[in-house]
Amino acid sequence: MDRGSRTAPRREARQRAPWPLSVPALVAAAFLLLPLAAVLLRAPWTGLPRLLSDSGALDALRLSLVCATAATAVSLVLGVPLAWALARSALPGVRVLRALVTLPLVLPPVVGGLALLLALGRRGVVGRPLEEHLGVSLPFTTTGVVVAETFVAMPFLVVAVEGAIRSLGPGLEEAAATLGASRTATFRRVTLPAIAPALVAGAVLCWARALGEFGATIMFAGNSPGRTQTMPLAVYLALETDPDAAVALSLVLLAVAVAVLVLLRDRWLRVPAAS
Amino acid sequence: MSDRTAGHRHAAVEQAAPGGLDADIDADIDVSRGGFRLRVGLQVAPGETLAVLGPNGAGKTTLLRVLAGLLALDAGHLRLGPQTLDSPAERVFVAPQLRGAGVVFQDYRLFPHLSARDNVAFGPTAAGLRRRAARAVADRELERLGLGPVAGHRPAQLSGGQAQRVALARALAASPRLLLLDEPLAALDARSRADSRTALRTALACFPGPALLVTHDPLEALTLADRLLVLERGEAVQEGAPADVARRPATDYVARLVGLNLYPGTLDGDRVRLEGGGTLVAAARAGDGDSDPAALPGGSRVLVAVDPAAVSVHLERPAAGSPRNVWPGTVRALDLLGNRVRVDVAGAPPALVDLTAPAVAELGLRPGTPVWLSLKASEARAYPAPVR
Repeated sequence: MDRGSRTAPRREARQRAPWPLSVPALVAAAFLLLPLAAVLLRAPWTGLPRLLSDSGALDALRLSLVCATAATAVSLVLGVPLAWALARSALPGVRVLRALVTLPLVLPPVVGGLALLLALGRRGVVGRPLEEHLGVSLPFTTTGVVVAETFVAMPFLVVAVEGAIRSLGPGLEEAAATLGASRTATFRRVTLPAIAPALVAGAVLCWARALGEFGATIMFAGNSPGRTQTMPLAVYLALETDPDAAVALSLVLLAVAVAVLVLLRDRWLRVPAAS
Repeated sequence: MSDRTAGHRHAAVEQAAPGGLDADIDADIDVSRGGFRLRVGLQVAPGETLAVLGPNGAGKTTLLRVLAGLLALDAGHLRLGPQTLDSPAERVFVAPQLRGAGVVFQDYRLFPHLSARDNVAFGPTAAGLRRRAARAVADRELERLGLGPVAGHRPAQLSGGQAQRVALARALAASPRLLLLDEPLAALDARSRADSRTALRTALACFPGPALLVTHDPLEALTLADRLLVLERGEAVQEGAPADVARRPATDYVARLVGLNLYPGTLDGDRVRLEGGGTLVAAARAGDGDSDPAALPGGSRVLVAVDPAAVSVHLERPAAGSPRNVWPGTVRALDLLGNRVRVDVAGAPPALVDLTAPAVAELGLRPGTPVWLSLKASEARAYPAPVR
């Protein structure tokens, strides 16, 4: 209980990092932060209101928010049950399915866009019968943007939720069953609330990924202003005609990214308090 | 593949039969998991508590999971009163949510996002009660177990003893038809264990259906159960009233649990030739229900149980007197047990002997000391070895 014995180990623990570690660490940090600082430095702060109130920019922003939110909604409705099935099913082949389902995580989005065209395009495997029989055509439409974004972003949600369900274990679900709860009630009243933090984190990651989606969107949905031109596409296009506008739009996306990070850090990515 | 929940048999029973609380458990269990096989028959009467005792890996928890419906039988049957809960031959499997089996899990498994009250209200809600009515049931149940003040607490805020009793309240609030307790007191420290044991005894006394208590703690089994079933390596090795099991252990494991020396051997006149070497003269004591070994046919396989406190230790060979069993040995180890010293003596047969600390000091016992042991014939109780 004396003071000396309590402070001594703490002082000892605060050693200086050796230079072979500290120097590369500083370089890495600078490398990651410098480009972001450059956006802030070069941002046309005075012309910002004019650049952002330009109808094209507003359209792109609105379209981006709507499509990313729709893609997240679709991912939640379809992805959470998929995550549950992957985590709980004992069927053979589930492990292979799990690997395949997360493939879009590592697949170049442009390849994903091409794959979507081959599947859902006008002459696609599914796209052709879809158009012939139902008159539904997905490519180069706003719905197509949502499809492309869902394809790329849903795995983020599935991976987060599947991990949470798996680490939750079957114990609580078994307890609920012995108390007389049906499987559906168990999922709704026990599983979902227990994985809520992972669900929110996964949904936010999914939304952010959808918002920034470029490659698959431009391949599958094209780049038509007001219909399929989302923010990332607008940034790319503006760079050739109006670089200031490109920087202004990038600034908005950067702000959104920072907001997402703060939200995740503060609410869901905190190291859980020892229980 | 052994953890199959029998989806194809599931459809056979849509609704749990209403069978009242006076239904008994009748089970013939045969189930394999990995390389382990559990093979045991089981009957529990309404209002009776059966303690399932056994070392780790004996199959106790597997047995409990079979009864709860969390594990399907490979063969055999499980019935609760007139209703068949699981029978592969009849293609019947009642899902856990339709069995009405109240389970208190070893790790409690309280829902972390719900208050103690809502944890207990979970069962009544699942049964169709409205939120307010379910909470009223929960409050009553919590009050009964002295948990009223913590009804609003989340599980993380509860002490171990409180969490254990919330788990018990939650199981009881669902009006179960049978009660299954998996090592309910194992995770508690000594003080909260005593409180929870009292709560458990009251709950078991009030519970009208059959109850099963899985434990590896003999004290828990002896104080809470009406009947004991001892499992070892997936098989029943002994079954009976706690007092009988404590007096006539059938295996080394049970003997160790109840603190007796146990020697298997063969009857030869009034002597028992022990399997591990040595002989003992054994006699039944009048009035305690043991059959006189003389009444058993010569050559019978018997067990001899010896209380460690009945063995005497001497430094010299004792003069001929009343003890009819005298043999030499060597002290192997000494162990302080409460206010007694347990002396482990190697010899033919080896024996655990309980002495007082002053006696050990007076004899100057230490590992390696050569000693003589003596035992009255009336303290060596012989009984027929169970046929297996």
